[in-house]
Amino acid sequence: MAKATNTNMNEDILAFLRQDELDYPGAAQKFGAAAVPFLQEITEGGDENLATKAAYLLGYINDETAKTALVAAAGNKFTTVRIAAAYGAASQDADTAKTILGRLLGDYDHGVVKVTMRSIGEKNWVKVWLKS
Amino acid sequence: MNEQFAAMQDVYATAGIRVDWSTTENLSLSTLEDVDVGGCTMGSVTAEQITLFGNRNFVGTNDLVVYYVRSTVPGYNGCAAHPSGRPGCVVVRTASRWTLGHEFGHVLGIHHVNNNNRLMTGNGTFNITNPPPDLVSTEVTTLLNSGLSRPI
Repeated sequence: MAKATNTNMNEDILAFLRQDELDYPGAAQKFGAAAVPFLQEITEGGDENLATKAAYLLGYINDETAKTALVAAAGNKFTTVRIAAAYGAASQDADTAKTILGRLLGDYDHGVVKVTMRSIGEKNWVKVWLKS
Repeated sequence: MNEQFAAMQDVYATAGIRVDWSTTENLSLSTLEDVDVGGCTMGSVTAEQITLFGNRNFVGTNDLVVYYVRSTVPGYNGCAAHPSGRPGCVVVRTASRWTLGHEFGHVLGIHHVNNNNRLMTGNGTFNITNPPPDLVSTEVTTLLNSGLSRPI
């Protein structure tokens, strides 16, 4: 029964990720931490479109497992997944943000660095990190 | 791009609407390759959208422009929000073949529906079940009455 429930939720997650314009905060609230393993699996898969959206959704889920998955996404093969990790870092705690943004600041792609810089500026993370 | 445009032509043709591709320009805007679209809300655009949509070389005032980008931030397949007087949309390179027609539908004034047989499905054009997707008569009326379409 639990397996059937997971299957149904995974189908719902996929249906969400296949949308054109997505309500990430609403989906984070709807699916919650239970979605994290499947979202991480998608971010590590071969479909760039779904992987990117899954990484954005991870950034909106307030849970330790989501943070871990977002840190992993910062090392993803797809540039757009790393951009999603940089974007999501702005809403994480200082340590998680430092791990993600510190890594992505040295990324070879200009788009990743642009979003990383924006996330750093958005929360004034440098000031926070210098204090800690 | 060609596939999405052809798909859009197919769908709009079923409504008696001809779509012409007038010009293409390759923009060297590396900082806008991943464009910040904020919440993608009609009537509300970001500074990056304003900059991107300022590029309308060889385009008429009422012509619609699609900006193909690597990604939107945050991640969508496309976004129809545009600055006033600069009609157009953004579409990402990994979008579905129906996304261009869907986003232009928004620009022309039609909205999401909960029906995967229709172009304007809010459930995602990747989920369209009976290609080509439909435009219903009320949507066609709105498209034809848009100030951005013209009789031929």
